Amino acid sequence: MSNELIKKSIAEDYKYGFETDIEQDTFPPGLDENIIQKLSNIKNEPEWLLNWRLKAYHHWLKMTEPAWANVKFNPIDYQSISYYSAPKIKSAGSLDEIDPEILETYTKLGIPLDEQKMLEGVAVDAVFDSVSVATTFKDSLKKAGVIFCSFSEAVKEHPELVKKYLGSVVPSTDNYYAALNSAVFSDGSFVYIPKGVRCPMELSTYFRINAANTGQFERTLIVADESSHVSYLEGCTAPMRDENQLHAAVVELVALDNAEIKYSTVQNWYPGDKNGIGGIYNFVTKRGACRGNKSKISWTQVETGSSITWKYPSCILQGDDAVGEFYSVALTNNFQQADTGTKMIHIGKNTKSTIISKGISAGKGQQTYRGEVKIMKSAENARNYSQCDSILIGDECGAHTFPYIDVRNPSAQMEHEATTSNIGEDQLFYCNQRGISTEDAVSLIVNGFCKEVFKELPMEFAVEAQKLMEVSLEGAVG
Amino acid sequence: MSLSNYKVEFKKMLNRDYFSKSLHPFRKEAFSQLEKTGFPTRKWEEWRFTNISTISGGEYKISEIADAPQNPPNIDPYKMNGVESIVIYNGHFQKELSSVPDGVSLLSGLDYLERKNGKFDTANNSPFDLLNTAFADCGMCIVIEKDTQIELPIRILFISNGDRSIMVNPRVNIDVEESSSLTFIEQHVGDAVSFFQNESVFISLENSAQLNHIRIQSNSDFTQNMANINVNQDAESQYNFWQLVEGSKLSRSNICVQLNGKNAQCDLNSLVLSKKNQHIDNYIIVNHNSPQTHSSQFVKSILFDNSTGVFNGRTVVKENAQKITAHQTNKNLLLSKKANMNSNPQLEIYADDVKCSHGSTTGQIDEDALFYLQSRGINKMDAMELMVTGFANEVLDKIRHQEIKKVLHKEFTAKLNRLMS
Repeated sequence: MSNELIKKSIAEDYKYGFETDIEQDTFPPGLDENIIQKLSNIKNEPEWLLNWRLKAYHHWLKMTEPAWANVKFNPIDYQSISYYSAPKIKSAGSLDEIDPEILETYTKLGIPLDEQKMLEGVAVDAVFDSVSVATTFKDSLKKAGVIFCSFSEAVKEHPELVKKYLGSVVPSTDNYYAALNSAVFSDGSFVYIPKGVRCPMELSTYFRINAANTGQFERTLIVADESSHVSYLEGCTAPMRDENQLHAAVVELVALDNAEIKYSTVQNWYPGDKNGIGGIYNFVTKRGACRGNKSKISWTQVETGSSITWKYPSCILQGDDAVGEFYSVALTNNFQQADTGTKMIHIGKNTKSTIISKGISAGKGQQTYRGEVKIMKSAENARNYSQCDSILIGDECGAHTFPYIDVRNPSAQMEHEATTSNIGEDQLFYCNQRGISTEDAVSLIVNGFCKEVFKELPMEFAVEAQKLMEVSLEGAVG
Repeated sequence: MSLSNYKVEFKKMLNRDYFSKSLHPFRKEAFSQLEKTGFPTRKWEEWRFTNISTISGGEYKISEIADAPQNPPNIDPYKMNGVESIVIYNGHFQKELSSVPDGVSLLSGLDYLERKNGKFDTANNSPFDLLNTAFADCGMCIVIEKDTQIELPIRILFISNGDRSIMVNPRVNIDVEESSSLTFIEQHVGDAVSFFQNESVFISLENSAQLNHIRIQSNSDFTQNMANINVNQDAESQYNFWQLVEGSKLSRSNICVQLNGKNAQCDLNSLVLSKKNQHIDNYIIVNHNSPQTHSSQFVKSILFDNSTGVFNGRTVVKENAQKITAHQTNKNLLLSKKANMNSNPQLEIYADDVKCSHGSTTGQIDEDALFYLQSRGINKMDAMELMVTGFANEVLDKIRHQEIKKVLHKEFTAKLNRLMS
């Protein structure tokens, strides 16, 4: 990437911070049974789903907010959040019927929903606040037998699949935020890849928070049937606001025999301003189950946004020879905080997992890697390799590493390594000496540091991720 | 968790006329704090992997005069050449068997308190420190004056014997003043049938002081052992800790080191050999409070049978504590299908100019290496023993005292031999 481009992106600051002015249907703030009922009614949901929501809600009421994470934030008032907000003009699938303002929004974000203008080979489900506004390339996917639609549509069209898999990986009672999500989730994406199908294009969901004082609670469910393959991308942005907004999503992945799911995230929610005011609380539960033998789930995440990130994309390796992977780059600048990592639970024989986590802390950012590798008695010949490296830029930031390693089978081979250091003065000097300015040298070194993870990202995302790093590091050196 | 048993014992303790009354306020304060916190449960993050219900629900009684030996105990089996020994039997100091080298002052608890101007060392790293303060019944205060190099190592031999369920709370204070050095050994031995030892050690190293601390825990497989080791280090001081844990039913070492001055250095090594139903836990915290401080943690465990092990190492680098190096290494060898290991190496870093790393591995004996040795005519058992010995030697070789290194090498090999045949 040329230096001009970097400079341009740096000057742009957070360029997704604009607000779209459209009429919206928004619930009054507050949460009780009526709100859930109303939400369910709007979506014409079947009885079983409403009951499922209510069960989760009642369980949530009994739970207390967890406090173990290494992040600090003001208590969230769950009664002041609005749990549903949707553009007034309902989308009905055809592009002509979508509010032009929304189309404009996505074009501004670089995600044109017009199929002609789109990147070849990427199908997008665009989620705007609480609802999915458009899903592209539906027809070509249908030909391949792939189901890719909004969650609400899936509930209507494919209730048997939703019923079978919903909550099977992340139960509605799993944790505080997952229970809240189960009670009030509004939309999200649903993907089903039938037996033996290799999904012909990349699938993608683009999440956009627009309305103020709302929370976004979406749910993604991806099921890869036997011997299928899918690569899925997720992107997110939000307007710049002074108050914090909650984003509590749930992502469930199921991989059956020989199936492979690759899930990539570029998370760029609004991180708050230089003084730590505003920004998104990103409290997400992501978990994949490798149910089948020889199945594989791979998580790749680039976390540059959000004022607080608190998530652990995990793999449950149930099938024999299952493979779990986790590649992560997390960057915290200014007052951002992140407590992220993964869990790899080895149950099946010959299961393998790889964890590569790269953390970059700058400004007053605080970052924690927290991970668990558990090798159960049944997991003969399990193999894990973990590497968690952190770079510190500036003397007011922090980087912390808390791995938990639990081995119950002696045939397991388990390795964990971590390092924490700053960018060496000698490295910077070397670059300076060759005419590279300090700021460019830092981004050069940081990009090299992250390369192992970036190379796991699909092409378009890799470029975007690199660019994001430059922007997010702005002002970190000087 | 009720402390009922300990409440009764605490009353008994206060009525003992041979303990100085002037320490009572400290004891009472500590006990009332303990009543507030209670014993740790597995819900406490720091105690997630260690269940101490045998202690919290145990009926351990304080050691009585009757628990002291009638005749001087035989310490020949524990003979170590070239060291001066202090012997403590079931919590009772054996004066006639004890001696210390020249230049070392042994102070009574009261004298020590006076020396510290009435300031009583306490630590709140775990409720067991409080329990120790409340019940402290034996121990030593060792003071090495300024500019004194003590060549002869001092050993405290703790013997636990008998079949009555007793608890002993030894308290050891070691002050090494400026530019002095000492090698200190604590050895825990005995055949007790039911025994709970809760030991607290307070170490203070002044500028440029050096302490080699060797701890050998090989008491009977029926004992519960808590070791609370608190170390404060000033500038240029060096603390070398070396530990072997192979005895006890349940053992936990709470080691907390504070590096308070520039160029303070600590080197913590621990070797664990566990078998049957043993549970051995090493919980280490190193706080880098000052810039330019250095630490290393090196813990290896060898697990047989149903034994379980925990390594929890935490390195904290405080804000503005720049130019730090800190390393943690934990390697575990599982030699049985039923053995279980938890390893949690943790780094908490609030400064940027640091070089910190940790590594953790867990596995069994490398089949390829075993095959290599077998193909050269070494039988399988011998080959395995050779490899386990090699694994352990890496820690054993870190003992900084030649004589003791030799003795421990020999002892360790013999023990391993017995376990592997």
